[in-house]
Amino acid sequence: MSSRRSFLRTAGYATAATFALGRLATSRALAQSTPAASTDILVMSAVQLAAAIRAKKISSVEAVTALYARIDAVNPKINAVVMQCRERALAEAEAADGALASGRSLGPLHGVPFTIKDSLETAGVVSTTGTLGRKNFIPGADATVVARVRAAGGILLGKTNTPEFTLGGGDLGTYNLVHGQTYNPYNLAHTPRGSSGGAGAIVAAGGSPFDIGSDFGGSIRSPAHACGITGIKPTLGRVSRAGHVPGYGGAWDVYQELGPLARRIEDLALVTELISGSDDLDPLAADVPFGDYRAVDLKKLRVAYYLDNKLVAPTPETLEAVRASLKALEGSVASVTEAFHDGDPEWYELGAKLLRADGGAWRQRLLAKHGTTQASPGFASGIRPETISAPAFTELVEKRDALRSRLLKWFQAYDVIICPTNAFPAPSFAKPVPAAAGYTSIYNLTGWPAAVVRAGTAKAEGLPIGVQIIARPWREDVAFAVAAKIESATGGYVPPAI
Amino acid sequence: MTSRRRFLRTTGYGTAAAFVASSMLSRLRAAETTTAYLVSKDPATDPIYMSATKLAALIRDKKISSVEAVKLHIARIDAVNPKINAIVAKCYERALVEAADADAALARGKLLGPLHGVPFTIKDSFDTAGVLSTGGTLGRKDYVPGKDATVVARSRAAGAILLGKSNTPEFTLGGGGKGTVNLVYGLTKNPYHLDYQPSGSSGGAGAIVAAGGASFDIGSDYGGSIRGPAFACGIAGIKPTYGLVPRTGHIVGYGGPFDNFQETGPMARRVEDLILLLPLLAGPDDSDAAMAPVPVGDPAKVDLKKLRIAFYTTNGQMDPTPELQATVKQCVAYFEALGCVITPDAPPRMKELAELRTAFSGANGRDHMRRLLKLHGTTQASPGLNIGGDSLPSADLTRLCEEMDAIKSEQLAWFEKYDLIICPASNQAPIRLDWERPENWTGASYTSQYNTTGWPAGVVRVATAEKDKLPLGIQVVAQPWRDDVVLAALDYIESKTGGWVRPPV
Repeated sequence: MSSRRSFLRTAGYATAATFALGRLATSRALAQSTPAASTDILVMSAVQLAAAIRAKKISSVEAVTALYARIDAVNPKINAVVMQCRERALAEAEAADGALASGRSLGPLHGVPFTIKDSLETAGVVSTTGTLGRKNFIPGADATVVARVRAAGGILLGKTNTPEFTLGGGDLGTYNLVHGQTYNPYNLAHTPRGSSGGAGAIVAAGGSPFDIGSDFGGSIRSPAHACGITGIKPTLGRVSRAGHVPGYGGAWDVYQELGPLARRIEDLALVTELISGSDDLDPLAADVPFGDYRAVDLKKLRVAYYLDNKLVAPTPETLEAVRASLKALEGSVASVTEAFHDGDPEWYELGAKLLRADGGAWRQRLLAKHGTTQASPGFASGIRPETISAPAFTELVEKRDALRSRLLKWFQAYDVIICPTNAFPAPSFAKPVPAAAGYTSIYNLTGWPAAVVRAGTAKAEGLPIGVQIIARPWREDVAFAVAAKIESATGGYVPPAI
Repeated sequence: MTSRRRFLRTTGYGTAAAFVASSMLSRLRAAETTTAYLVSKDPATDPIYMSATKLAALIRDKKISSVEAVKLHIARIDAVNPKINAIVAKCYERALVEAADADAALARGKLLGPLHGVPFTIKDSFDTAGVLSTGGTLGRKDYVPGKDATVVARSRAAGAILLGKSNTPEFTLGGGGKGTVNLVYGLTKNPYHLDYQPSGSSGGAGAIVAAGGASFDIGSDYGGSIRGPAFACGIAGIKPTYGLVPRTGHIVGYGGPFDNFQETGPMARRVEDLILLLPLLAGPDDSDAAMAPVPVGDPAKVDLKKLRIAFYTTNGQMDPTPELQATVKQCVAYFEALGCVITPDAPPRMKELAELRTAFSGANGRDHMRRLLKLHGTTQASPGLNIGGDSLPSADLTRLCEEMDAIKSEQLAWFEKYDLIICPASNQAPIRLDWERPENWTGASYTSQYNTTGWPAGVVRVATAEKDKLPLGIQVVAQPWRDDVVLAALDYIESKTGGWVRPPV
């Protein structure tokens, strides 16, 4: 049984197939890293680490061992990694080193360790998605994205924390009844945001070069921002969601995407391309050609930016980060224009109304399906007696889709949007921020690719601030090109003191 | 302001952009080099019956002028339309001016595109700038849009010349078992026998293309509305993969809870025209948010003998007549002769999926239909338009959606074993105008199954019904985004059966 991707390769789809599959062997995938190469395994990018392993400067066993040592050192403080598979990882690393010694490469991530958000299924490794009913659940198969990363040579170290079903974090960012609370490595009194908070925290802390998260309303981008790393929610349809819990399908299907979190943009580009494309399960995943971000001509890009989405005003330091990003682009792009699409607050209100429309029946079905009788308070808060009628429901869907279309039209005038990721840096446990403080969910409505890179600092708290870079649908390459420019100007990721 | 497609072509998108642009616009670009045009296989010599591909070549070669071609088609419409009522609005004057312009451009050596000077018609559910577009609803009886629907704009940009609009039931959904009928323009008839339906909802398109009044038309397909009329009128049609061709400017457009059932696609007498047209129509525009720039593969490059084929003669919901079941076996034999691996098999749980779709479509008590009527100012709805019913709790609406999507995924996993499905397009031969739709009739499930999944599905004529000599077509289906495989299979089947046959009308 061949996958559709491999069918494309073998059944007379010549050009497209060559393009789609040839990528794994391209010089790009094996390219030299652009940022100043670090020699520290805990800081270097996945691209750098892969190159060092290929060049036999570092063995995969050394890398795996060093990262587990780092996890052991930081995890008692941040509680980011909630399940480990040490024996298997070390065995796989030895096998990878052996393969390399005999001249065989397993792929562009040969021997590179990584972690995975616990909402993604991992064969042979407990995958709870933060719900009690799955406390001991061990899947038989890897999620599509996990399988693709491992097929490219990646070595799974363990699972990172997420709120129940990725949706129950609330003010705590990343918390559940199975594994408890995750903390921000830059300041332990603050959350890492959520729902990919475990991923954000461990990648920032140097315990893993990259992770793969899910993003239903900002769950990749908010932790990337709060933990000072990079992340991307790719275009809707770019990456199969098969093996994520909750899965594809259902009334909210179009909001959910999967994408990587890493310390460097070059890693996002490599991993996003590796995990992209259709599989035989997720009907929305499509095989759209993936551009090389290094080939994007910045000079042709029309940049729009906005400082305020009219819901929650950003902090002055957040605005500074956006301005620093714009400064980084000045003179390199065709134009920079202050322009807001006015998608919010309309979307924020409409979207929330829709998610509550059935009284949380969809949440109850999730709990029942996974055998959970006690839901976390954050998840249970979405279950209420009030519902709206089915006619009103479908009318809201029509309004929502009309907004999507209006926003797409608006975006014809620009190639890129720069805006805050959140109005605030990572909130403290003592002082939550308003639920509307994310500037992210509007891009789950539109399905456009949206990346985050660190561009500033909240000085009093010592917390990172990331900006959000949005490109037109299927133009992840444009988002990466602009984010890389900002990264090189601002420095991007800075290791935490932890 | 540039379109996204155009952006891909013109900005630094390196390899991918070059690839996307070259595949999506290859037909368009072919206009720049005469050698790159598709070569017609159509033996027809009469301009009103030859393929659009062949007519375009004759116009390019100045063997016939666009004005002549337009006049011949107008004459044909005027001759047959009193009998079949397929064309409901005309723009002959503008068409003749555009044809004269096209001829003048060609005289100067300028080609507008691969459809330079070729006349076509458009289903009345699509907006056409300056030309009455009713969508079959009384509230739009006198509505003249300011802008072309995306597919119309793309056809015209490629040089095609609009002659008029073809009939459709109200909102494409109000046929009520009568095929193609509405309160604005009345009933359309089948050119092969005037007592029969052309099917619907692109019945006007099917009838006029079959009768030689238009080189091609573009229909919409929400449950079989391209494939049903292609079947009943003995022509070829494709419902492309969901996400390939924008619905912008269609009266039931993109968006809403039933968004992923709707596609638009070409209808023509010859499969070669579908091959010409589909890449011209495909690709994102600036409004339809569900579109993806997936390249359309070249059907000529599909290796037919390597196709893994599943076939079924019944979907277990409503058995087709023996003569229709025989058409499936007839087509299977064509592929057997190539040495293909062929298995009797069908997507799992089709019946459940169809029942879920029906429940989902009615879950809001069809409030969306009443909103449509209101939006377009219609106070009197067609008798066949289903606008009432009890609504379910919202909790059932979201549940039905989850259950449908779960089966869709299961079927997609099943489809990995095959490249092509050969199956009936209908449970029965074309039906009479006075046919009364039985309670619990589910014959449309043969086509609607592939609206629910979003997979590409096409129809071509393969046989003649014993009774009254009406056309019979076959349906072929490929994996999502493999519209090239559908087109290659249709082309091959047509080469065996001859496809379209001139109607007696």
